[in-house]
Amino acid sequence: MTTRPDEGIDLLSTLTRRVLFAPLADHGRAGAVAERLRTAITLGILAENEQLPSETTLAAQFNISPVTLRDALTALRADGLVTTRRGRGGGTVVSGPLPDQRRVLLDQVSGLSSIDLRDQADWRRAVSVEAARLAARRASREDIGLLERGSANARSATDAVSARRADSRYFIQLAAASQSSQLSAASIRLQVEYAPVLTLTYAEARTREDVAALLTTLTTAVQDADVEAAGLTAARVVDLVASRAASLRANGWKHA
Amino acid sequence: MEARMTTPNQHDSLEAVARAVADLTQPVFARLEALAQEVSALDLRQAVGRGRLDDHDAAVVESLAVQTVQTLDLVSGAGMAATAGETSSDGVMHWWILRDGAVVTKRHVLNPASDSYYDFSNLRWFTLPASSGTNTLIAPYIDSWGTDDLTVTAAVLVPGSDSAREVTAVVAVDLNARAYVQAVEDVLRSAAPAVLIDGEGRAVCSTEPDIETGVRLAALPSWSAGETADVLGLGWTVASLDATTG
Repeated sequence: MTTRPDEGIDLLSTLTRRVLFAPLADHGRAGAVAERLRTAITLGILAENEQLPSETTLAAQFNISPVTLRDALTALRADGLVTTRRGRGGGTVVSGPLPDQRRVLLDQVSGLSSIDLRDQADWRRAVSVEAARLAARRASREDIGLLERGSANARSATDAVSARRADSRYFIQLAAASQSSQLSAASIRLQVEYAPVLTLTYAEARTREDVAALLTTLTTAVQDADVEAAGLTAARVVDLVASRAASLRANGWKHA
Repeated sequence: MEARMTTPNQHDSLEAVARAVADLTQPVFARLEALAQEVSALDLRQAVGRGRLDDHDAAVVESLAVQTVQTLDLVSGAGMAATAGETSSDGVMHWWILRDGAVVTKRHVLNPASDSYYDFSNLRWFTLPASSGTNTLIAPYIDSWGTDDLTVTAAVLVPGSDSAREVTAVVAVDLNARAYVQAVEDVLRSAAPAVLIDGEGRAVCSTEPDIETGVRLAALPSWSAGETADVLGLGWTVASLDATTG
């Protein structure tokens, strides 16, 4: 197998990728690597045609041996999730999400206890509310334009994957509008950690619509420099999704 | 900084501070203008159609960008972007960054279907020079899906390209935001209490702890400006603060 050496090319330089390809606690297992990449592709965090870093770089990043990584990529190729092109300009490329996306998502959330869900929501609320409050104080006109664009994307999302992506990008943009590096980094980590729950929750059209409406209100509050309204609206978004997610979990993650 | 003039006239002193602020990025803009000239000679229309510069042109831009990152103070990244359409997915971006002391290629994701989509055609560092034709400095902002960190960007339109034509191209550098704000703070101190304000009324830096970087000054009830001086070429203002502020 040929790999394109990308020493000197920083394919890990977005924080999303550094989070996705973070070293495994449970290192040494091809299955764990394949699972991480399968989830990222299934959730659409890695899009079709995105190029993965070289095998050498990825193995080093995951803290696994190149042989283990190759085993993981072989499994993903067998699933049809990635393809490997040889020669110059080649490398491993994402080919598209799995047809049985729901099964992969259910695998991800099946181990979540109600305490896990509550903790995720608590952390998301802390980050999002403070980001919203600071954004109302500090957002530039550009930030507000990007938030308007983001809430428009949420309104036009017609499936779980695009609604999840619109939500993630909106909250990352909101954290950026707060001008805080650390809130921004926390928001990007949340995007990856909370994605399975968000995607399952957004399978329901009513949830997509309710959140999109709230994001529109939130954008207006930031634009109006209304710190209190921005914080309260951000909390409402987080609580609405958390409440629907808790109901879903209680129902075995099946929509009523 | 050579801005420490000791004239008794507050207004003159503020003018000198404003000049010193402009001086901080003068070498950066001089380099960007030279880079813009070089890029204007490349076949940008073909590059946009292909999604990247051809190997020869990419090597030309790379050597200039790498040299820029290596030799200019404060600079942490450099490159060019061009688009022929409404969004960055119709465009091309070549960028180099400083990482662990070495200059490496940085790939931006120009695929709108990706979570990490970097839509430069909707970002001010691209749109402002493109629409106004003037050199642009963007006050500290979080460059999501780019540096993912607080960044100051200086950008210059490539001559012969503008939004009325088929291809709009911009050359730009990222500055280390923390170092830049520190340098501004050092300059402002001689006029304290003072604040540097960007083109839309947000604080870039101030000598006062209650006025943090990024805050919209309109959001501060106790703030009031005294004398002001324009920072030439940036559309920014240095303002002395009323003694009652804070």
